[in-house]
Amino acid sequence: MGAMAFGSTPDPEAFCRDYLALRQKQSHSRPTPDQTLKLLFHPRSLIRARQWDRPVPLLSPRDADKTARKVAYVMLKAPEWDDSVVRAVRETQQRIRRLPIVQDLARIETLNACRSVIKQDSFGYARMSDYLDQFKNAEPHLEAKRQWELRALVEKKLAAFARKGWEIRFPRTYFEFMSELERERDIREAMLISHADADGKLYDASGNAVPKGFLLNLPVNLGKLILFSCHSEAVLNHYEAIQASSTLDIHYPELRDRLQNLYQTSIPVVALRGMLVSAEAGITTRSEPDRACKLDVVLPEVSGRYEILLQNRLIGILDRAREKSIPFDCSLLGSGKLIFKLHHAEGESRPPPRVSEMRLTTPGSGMVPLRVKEFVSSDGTRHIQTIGTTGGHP
Amino acid sequence: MKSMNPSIKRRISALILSTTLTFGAISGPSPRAEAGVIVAAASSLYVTIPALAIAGMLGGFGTAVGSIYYAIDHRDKAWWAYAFFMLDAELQSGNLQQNIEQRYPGIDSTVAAEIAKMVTEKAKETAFNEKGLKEIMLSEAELAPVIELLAETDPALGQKLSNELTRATLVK
Repeated sequence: MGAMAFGSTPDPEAFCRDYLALRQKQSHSRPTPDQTLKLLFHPRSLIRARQWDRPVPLLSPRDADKTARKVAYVMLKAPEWDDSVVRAVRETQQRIRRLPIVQDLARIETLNACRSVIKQDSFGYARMSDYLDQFKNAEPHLEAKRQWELRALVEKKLAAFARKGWEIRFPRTYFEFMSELERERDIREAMLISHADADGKLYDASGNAVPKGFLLNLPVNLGKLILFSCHSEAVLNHYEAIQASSTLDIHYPELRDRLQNLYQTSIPVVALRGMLVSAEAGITTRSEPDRACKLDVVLPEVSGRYEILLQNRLIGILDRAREKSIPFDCSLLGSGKLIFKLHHAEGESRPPPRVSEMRLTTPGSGMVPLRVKEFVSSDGTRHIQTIGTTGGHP
Repeated sequence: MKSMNPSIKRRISALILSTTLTFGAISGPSPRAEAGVIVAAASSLYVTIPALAIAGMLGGFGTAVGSIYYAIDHRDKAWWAYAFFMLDAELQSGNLQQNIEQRYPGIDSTVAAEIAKMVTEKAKETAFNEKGLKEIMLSEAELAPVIELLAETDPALGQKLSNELTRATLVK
């Protein structure tokens, strides 16, 4: 597991190589005049709201149930930062921008030209290096401020949704989101705004990856879910939208073709209002979820917050309760070795829960007790995971 | 004649001015840094945060300063995020658990958390080498509960972890 180590003064050779690579990347991604106008004056048109498995995007928007409870969950960080640190970097930045070396570097096209600029102005390069050190040290603050600004922009854009009856909430973790959907059974429509990576994993405001399978066993009251994140296609694949969409309307943003040179598969927050079409769309009539199988989990006492997975897919949560019954679609059992997992959902401290019992009920075999095995750290203080497998008690 | 509503008037003026300046900035042969400043001035009249972000993209602003840093740090992707406010997740540098999850796709979060904890604990007792890194090697006994768990749930991953983590691993 090699770690990236940051040197104090960058080696000019490496600097020139990386700088030119970045310049090249930027020149590919310059917006055209038409794109610029859209970005400035009509950002919502950067994206198109789509509904999964519908060739024509969305059904009649006017079918929407005006009385349905709708909640937008913003799973983005709201960090704090030291403004004096950020201001100091910005001030240095202003001075650095005026240095001849920065102007000269903006014009270079080749590695040799870059080397020559640095060689001719070693004093300027040293000052730039000092600035880079300052920037590096201030980076957590700059990043925190950027995250805050991003969230502020989302909040601003969500005002239009609030006017259409959407409640706005800021869960710290996806567990809170799941827990709330389970608790408040009158929520019919939800929107999830979060970061995603190129593999399609969604992340909550605490940086936890949302487990695979979370779409597959959502409470039955939920009829529509809007996923607003980057890399929509990867997200839909990762969370198996194809399976989830049999019982749930899934909406997502799609970047307009002509903007792919700018954003690839990322989604700009500024376009959030483009999802208003989805927010107003009616819910498609779908089949009732067939959740004929059931897992019962019993703990000796009420303890922490746990996630329960079946074949590595999240099927439910146990939120400070002593026992829980989780109905699920029997197709999730799959064909391989049957493994249920239970582990802590969050927190540094993970005291072992000592699961008393796990029972699986299926239409074919009735109720079967699972073989429960608990795994804790070598010093016995931290719970790693409890698994339940078929085969009865050990 | 009834005068125009001041807010509409202001908006129309801003629109005309910003459109003119935007076109000027894009079509003119101005250097990048200059174009960035012009677009920033134009857009701030009409829209604030998004346009300033775009200005960074269009002009020398980002090119001249921010990206130099990111180029050095191999973090040009972060420059994108900074300029555009996108919902693109990035690994936090130094977040060991996330790095483990990235390196071993499919690993459960609590297993990764346990390994991260073991590595961090061990790192406390280890001195930095001359490159400013620490060499960490977990023993088979320390890894035993994780390997035992993976033997039941994902034997291939268990084998891989056992092979790799009981050899020297570099962390910052």
